[in-house]
Amino acid sequence: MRFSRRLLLAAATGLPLLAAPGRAAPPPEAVGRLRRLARPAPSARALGLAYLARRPDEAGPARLAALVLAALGLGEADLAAFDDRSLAALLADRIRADFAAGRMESAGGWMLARTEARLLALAV
Amino acid sequence: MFIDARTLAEAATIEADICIIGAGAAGITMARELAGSGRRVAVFESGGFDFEQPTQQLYDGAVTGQPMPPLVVERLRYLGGSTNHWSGGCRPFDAEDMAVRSYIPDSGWPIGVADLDPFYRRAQAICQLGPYTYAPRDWAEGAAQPLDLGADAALRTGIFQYSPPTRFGEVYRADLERAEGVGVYLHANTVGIETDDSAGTVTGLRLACLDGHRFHAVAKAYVLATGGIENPRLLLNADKVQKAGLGNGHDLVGRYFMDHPYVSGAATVMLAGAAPSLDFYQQRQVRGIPVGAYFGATPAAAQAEGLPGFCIGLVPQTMAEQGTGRDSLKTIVADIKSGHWPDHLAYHLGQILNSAEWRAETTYYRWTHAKPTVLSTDYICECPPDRDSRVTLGDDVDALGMRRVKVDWRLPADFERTMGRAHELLAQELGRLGIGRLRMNTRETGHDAMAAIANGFHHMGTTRMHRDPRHGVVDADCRVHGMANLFIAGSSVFPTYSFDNPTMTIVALALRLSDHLKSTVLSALDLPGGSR
Repeated sequence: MRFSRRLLLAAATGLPLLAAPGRAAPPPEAVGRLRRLARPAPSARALGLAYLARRPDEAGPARLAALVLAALGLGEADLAAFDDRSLAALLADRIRADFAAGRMESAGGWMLARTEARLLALAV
Repeated sequence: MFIDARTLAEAATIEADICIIGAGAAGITMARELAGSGRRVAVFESGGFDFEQPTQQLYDGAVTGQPMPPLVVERLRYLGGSTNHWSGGCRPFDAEDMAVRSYIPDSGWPIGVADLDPFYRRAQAICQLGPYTYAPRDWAEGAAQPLDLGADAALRTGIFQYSPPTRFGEVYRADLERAEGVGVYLHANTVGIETDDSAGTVTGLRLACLDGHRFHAVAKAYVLATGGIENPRLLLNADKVQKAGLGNGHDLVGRYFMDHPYVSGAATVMLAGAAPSLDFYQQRQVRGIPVGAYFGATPAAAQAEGLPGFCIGLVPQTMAEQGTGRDSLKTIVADIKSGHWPDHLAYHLGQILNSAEWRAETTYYRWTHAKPTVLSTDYICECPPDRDSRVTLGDDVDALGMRRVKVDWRLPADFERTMGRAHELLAQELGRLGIGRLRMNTRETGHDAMAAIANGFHHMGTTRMHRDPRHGVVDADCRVHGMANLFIAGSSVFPTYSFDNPTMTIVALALRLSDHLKSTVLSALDLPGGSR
């Protein structure tokens, strides 16, 4: 699998992969919000697909969103308490915590935080 | 004093207290240390002051294992030896590099870092390095600061200092010229080591020049200092009395051959826009001293993960290996001058092109002051000692009748796994610190780094050091087990070797051996019943 420079840059920057939060009210669904934060650019598809190829048991937006939220210690109902900016910060903290704890996943050769890999898969 | 051995009388006998075979880093260091000691020192160097193709061809041999460049490329056979093409990286071993490690079979030196430390300090100056400190903080300056990896991190930062690099034959030629009591015989090839009937004492050397001159040398003590391939070659060729070769009563000479696998571009690192600076990890000058930094495993992580010593450096991507292009150019020019079509032409042209690419890229970054956002990793590691990785003798002989070598270098079966795990640890730290992301370059990602494993031209382990003659060729004093007056200097005595360029440790061990010869050995051999 080959990747474009844009994809490499997107993957490298981690948190900036998440879309800049806007001022609009967060959508109610967890999947939609997480997807929007993960910015489903074409470049992200390849890594998301690579992750799902390795972890087919996690396929499906609802399953992936549930796993991400569980990693954050949140239920779907808790999301309303977070605007996009604070949710993005929470995800960034979790991504760093994943790295610190060695919770990494390989997608297309990239060593990603597990939460990060799930967000990319969610963006597929 | 230098003497061209081709001018000696036929069948002359040179008498000395110490004969040193080989004038590379070890031999030259010893000759300088022994000068003025009241002892007569004879150094026998196969080459002259510069590269000569017929002499270089004496190094030819077969490579039968893991691919590596031709043996005539790997080493240089003239005054200064392979310091004529070394890259200059220096770092003393850490304690764990010399310790017995339960997860690395056959690991452990009979001496430790504390034994070498005073000699490392002296080697520091000989290799023309800066102050003797390798603490990362001592090399921080401005924005170039080591990353705060944390007490629990699996990785730590380390420092290399870079020698100019010291070309021992050029830098110390004047010293050798005026060294009291030292004669350096050029174009003098050792073609035989003679012993008593028990092969317990060396009684003399047979030497030859390529022009047909033959002569002898006798001394109280003898030191082989011809490198990790030629040292075992000389011992194995000396099979008149001990049929398996000198010092080879336990079938160890030539075994445990080691080199540094070097994987350039094992992984790609993409930096985040606001990443902490990695300037510290680029090659740079600090107070005029060239240094570089690397990531290596902490001792605890290495043990927990069962990882060999390794270092990972970061370089702007596609930067090709430097240094070897010049040697290749010299080889081609020398071949053409001598009327030969160059051997291994494609290899040499590749090296020259790689060097050109590296220079162009370095110049670009220097001129534009641009910081690369895409980095490659350079991975270098030690391999656990392997009995079956070895130097043996082939059936064909060189121009002087010495059997040539076959080198069967073997990599461990788990090499790719341990390299991958080392990079996972780096990816972990890069992600945790928000620096960027790492991608392994594998068959799956279309950039198979494993297909381009190089070696460091660092030949080691073939006369390994161990207290027990069943496990080592030399003892802790570099004396060949079972022999009264034969010693070995150089990296062939390394039982394990970390990821460091071996030169600094070669020099430290040569200093230690010199002290030992001066203080203990020669006075003992002076007594009645000594070797002569």
